[in-house]
Amino acid sequence: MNGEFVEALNDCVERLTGGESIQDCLNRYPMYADELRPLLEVSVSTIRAAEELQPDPSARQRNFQRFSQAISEASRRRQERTPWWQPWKSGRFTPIARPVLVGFMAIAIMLTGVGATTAAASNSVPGEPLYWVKTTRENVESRLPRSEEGRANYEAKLAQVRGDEINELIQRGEFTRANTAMVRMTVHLKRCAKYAGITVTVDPVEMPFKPNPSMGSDEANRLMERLENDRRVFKMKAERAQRQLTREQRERVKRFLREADLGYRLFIDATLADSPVRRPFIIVPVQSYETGR
Amino acid sequence: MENRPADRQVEHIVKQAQAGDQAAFAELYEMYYDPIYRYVSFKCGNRIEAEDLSGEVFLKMIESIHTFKFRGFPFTSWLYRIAHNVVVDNFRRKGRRPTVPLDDAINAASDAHSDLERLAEVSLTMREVVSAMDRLTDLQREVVTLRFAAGLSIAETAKAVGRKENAVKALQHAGIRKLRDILTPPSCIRPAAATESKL
Repeated sequence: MNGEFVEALNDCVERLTGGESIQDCLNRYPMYADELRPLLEVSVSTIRAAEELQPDPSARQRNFQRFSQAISEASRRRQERTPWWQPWKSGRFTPIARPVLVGFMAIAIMLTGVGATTAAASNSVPGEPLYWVKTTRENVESRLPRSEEGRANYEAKLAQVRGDEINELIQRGEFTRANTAMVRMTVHLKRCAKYAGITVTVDPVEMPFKPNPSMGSDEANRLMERLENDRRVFKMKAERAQRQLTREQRERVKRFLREADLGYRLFIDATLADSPVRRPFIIVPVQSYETGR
Repeated sequence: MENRPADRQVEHIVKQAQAGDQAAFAELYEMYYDPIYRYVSFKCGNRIEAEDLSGEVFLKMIESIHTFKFRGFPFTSWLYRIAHNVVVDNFRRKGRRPTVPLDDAINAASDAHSDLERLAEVSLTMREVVSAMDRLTDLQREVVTLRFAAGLSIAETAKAVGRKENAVKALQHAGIRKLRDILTPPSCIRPAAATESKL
């Protein structure tokens, strides 16, 4: 088959539908004129026959009514079955809003995943795989409170969390890790004291200086009550845990108890002062912080 | 052939229809009902059946328009695929090849024209053309119908029938040549010559 002739025929058909006459088309392709003419005449007949086919106006209108009813029905069905998590299918959202919504959903799913992991890590203790998630979250959260009072309370809370970890580790017989948790507990208590306006020094010969009265007496009393309660709970749990232990292990637990009691007591006694400016200075031995002994 | 809407305009209307805009659906109906009717008429050769099937094409369009995506596939080609499937399903249901009830075709023309002489010419042409179309191969008939009755471009026709453009041009050539052979003697194509000046 001659490709050029096929192209010429197609070009002529396009021109005929565009309004050109057969003769105009033949003039464009004189070399194929004899062969093109009968084909173009048939083409014109066919186009003409098709143009004469006009739909019956009443049938057209009848079909349009069916069409309109079907649109309304489809719209109603779609609104009924559109799930709340796919609002773009209802047509309420524009195509531009869809990627934005998908983005938000992706972030929400990611946050949910992070939240689930964080929740799972909240009961972990030193040595467990998710413990780093717990400490990372604590590091982030410790920066959130803006007031000194808020920071002091958060550090008190972390000291109480370390106390729970120590008791859990004691029950598991993991005393080395319990010792590490004890060191951390003391650090939290020291920070709590600092935010409460109590200067804690590690040097016994250092001259004391006037504490910063950053907290009022009411806040200081509330903090003291919280610390007192935490101390009692820790002591009660540790005493209960040591009943199942050997004599040597009980001795180690007693040491934990003494250290925790000391940390809490020093702070509580300092906080008992009526006014912030009358709070005593507290001097804590170096060993208590650095080695946890 | 009537003026065909620009691709961008069609795309805009289709997207509005996909979002559930009833006015956009109505617009699509106005744009495509007549060519779809002509296409279906050419394929089934029966006026009453063509009217029913044309309505069915648009109902199918409502059902599946949300699945249509503008990814190099013209909406027109997609719509004519629906029309093709509707016609084929109809043949399958009836369990026979399409027939050409010429009286119906004449009736269709008589609704639009009152001039008796002109009506005689048109019906004769229609009778001959529709009969001749029935003797083409399926693909040739599909291409010729899409090109001449529906007014699709070569590119749109190629997408609609799932063939390359060159193949469609070849099918068009073969179809026209076969129609010419069937429609001889030349008296059968007399109306074309009579109306040539209008084209």
